[in-house]
Amino acid sequence: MKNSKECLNEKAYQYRKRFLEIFTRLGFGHLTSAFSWAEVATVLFHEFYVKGTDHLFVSKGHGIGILFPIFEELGFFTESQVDDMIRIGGSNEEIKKLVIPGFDFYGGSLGIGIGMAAGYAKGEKLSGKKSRVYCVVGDAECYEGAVWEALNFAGFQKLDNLIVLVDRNQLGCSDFTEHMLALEPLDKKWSAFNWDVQVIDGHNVEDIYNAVKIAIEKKNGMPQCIIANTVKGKGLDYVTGRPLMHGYVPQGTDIDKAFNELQFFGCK
Amino acid sequence: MASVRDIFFNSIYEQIQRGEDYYIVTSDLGAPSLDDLRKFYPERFISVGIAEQSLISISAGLTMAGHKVIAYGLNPFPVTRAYDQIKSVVAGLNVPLTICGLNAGLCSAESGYTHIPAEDFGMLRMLPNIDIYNPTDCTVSRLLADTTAFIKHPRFIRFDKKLGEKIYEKEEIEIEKGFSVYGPENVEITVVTLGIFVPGMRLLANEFGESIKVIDIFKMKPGIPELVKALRNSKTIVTLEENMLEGGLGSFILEVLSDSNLTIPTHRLGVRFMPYRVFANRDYIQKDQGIDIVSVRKFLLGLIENKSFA
Repeated sequence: MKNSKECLNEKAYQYRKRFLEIFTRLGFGHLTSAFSWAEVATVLFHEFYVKGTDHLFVSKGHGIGILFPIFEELGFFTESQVDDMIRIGGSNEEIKKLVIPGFDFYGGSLGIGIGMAAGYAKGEKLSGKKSRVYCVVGDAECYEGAVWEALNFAGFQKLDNLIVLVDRNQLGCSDFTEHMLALEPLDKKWSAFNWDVQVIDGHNVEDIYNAVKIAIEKKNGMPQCIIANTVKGKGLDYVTGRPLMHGYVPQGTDIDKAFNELQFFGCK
Repeated sequence: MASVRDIFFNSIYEQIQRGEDYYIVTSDLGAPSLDDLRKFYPERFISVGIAEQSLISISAGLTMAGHKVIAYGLNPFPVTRAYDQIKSVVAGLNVPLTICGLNAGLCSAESGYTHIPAEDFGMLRMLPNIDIYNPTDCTVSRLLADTTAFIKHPRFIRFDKKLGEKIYEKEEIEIEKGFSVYGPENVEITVVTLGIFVPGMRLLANEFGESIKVIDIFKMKPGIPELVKALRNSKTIVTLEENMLEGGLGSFILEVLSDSNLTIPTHRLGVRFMPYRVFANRDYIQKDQGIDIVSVRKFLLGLIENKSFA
């Protein structure tokens, strides 16, 4: 690993904190979706992502917020640019113009990004490029039939340059996935579509690192799926494990509460 | 007669032979004009199965990876089944993808209500960036194929399998302007129509002498100032289409007139109610809805004889 475990945990903590700054000021956002893949995003960008070569499709578009602090640190945007962008009336043209190197699609509606990622991965193979295409999919997004259409295509086309991370936080908007319509056995379902599947702890930066490394190194003609078991809203206890917190961002007195209770849960 | 679909794909195939980087992505649909492509360039023919959502999102991804891509499926499904993909990605992000649909209007009506793309114009014209084409003849189709490699915006092209016969010379067609006018400038009736109706309406225009002109809208949305100019000197307008009237060509013309402060009596002929409880074909539905050539001729004669536009 290029960065220590402690360093990556600290970064993920700082990104959550900066997310709170950006989105409590906006008064709108999807905190729980963003926080659940904070470690995955941190490891992806700091350990593996090659600027200008690799590509990321955030199919679970509501989780996009956690990337803005990361992009600030990586120098894609300055803080003032992000502040100017994330406001009512702010321009999202810089994202929509697809000019951020390697950042191809910012998500929504659900079920589309993974198809685009599969098409992109196929396109890169046709061009003889050695790039990697990453895609982040929400677990409840897997209810969309289009996800499985894309899985079928990617498995058949042997797109081993495609690495999908499933944010398995167990929650949709209204309920736990296993209550409303069971997704399990999710790993077996992906395997059945000819994908190579790993299941990991999605908040353990070492686990994430090892899984992505394995996925990159495996050249077995199979697209790679990493099911990252996560907690929706991880980092703020009072929002975790609760349905109906999907569109939550702290407002009013909750803002101070969120900053005060934001947890650092990695090893120092 | 080669259909507009086959003329289009024959031209694309010739371009591939000359080294153009096209990929045809299909949701389980072939064509005689694609047989050679499948045989000699199999890697350029990519099937996603009968999965239109996948057709659009995978094609968008391929396009974003730098390739020239044509997504080809049985209309209306690439539009109706994959509308969200077209809205969110293709139109919303202005991805220069060409989407081709076989079937326009009622041309495959015998397949049943589900296979009639009578809503595609209305649905797509609400979206940003996307140009919508209904090639009238081999010339328009060929010009569309010739310009496909250079598009900066997404395109949707729907092919009527009954069309292909030559109507236009190349010099008569401006693809971007999007329409063609047949007849004198000042007329009593302007018939605004498209596709399958164009040859018949031109014959009626010949029969009725100087009183009628025909505007063929082969692109939605056409150049508005030019269209307003073409509509301005008419005493009445008749729109004729195989789309549902709600949101179709007639609605579009009324919007253009309203936005241009033009008050011209306008009659909309099209599909008011799709007869989905009977076995029907194009002829049946056209007669049922009063848009077959006999009914339209009678309607136009009525307007002329009653001077209802005076």
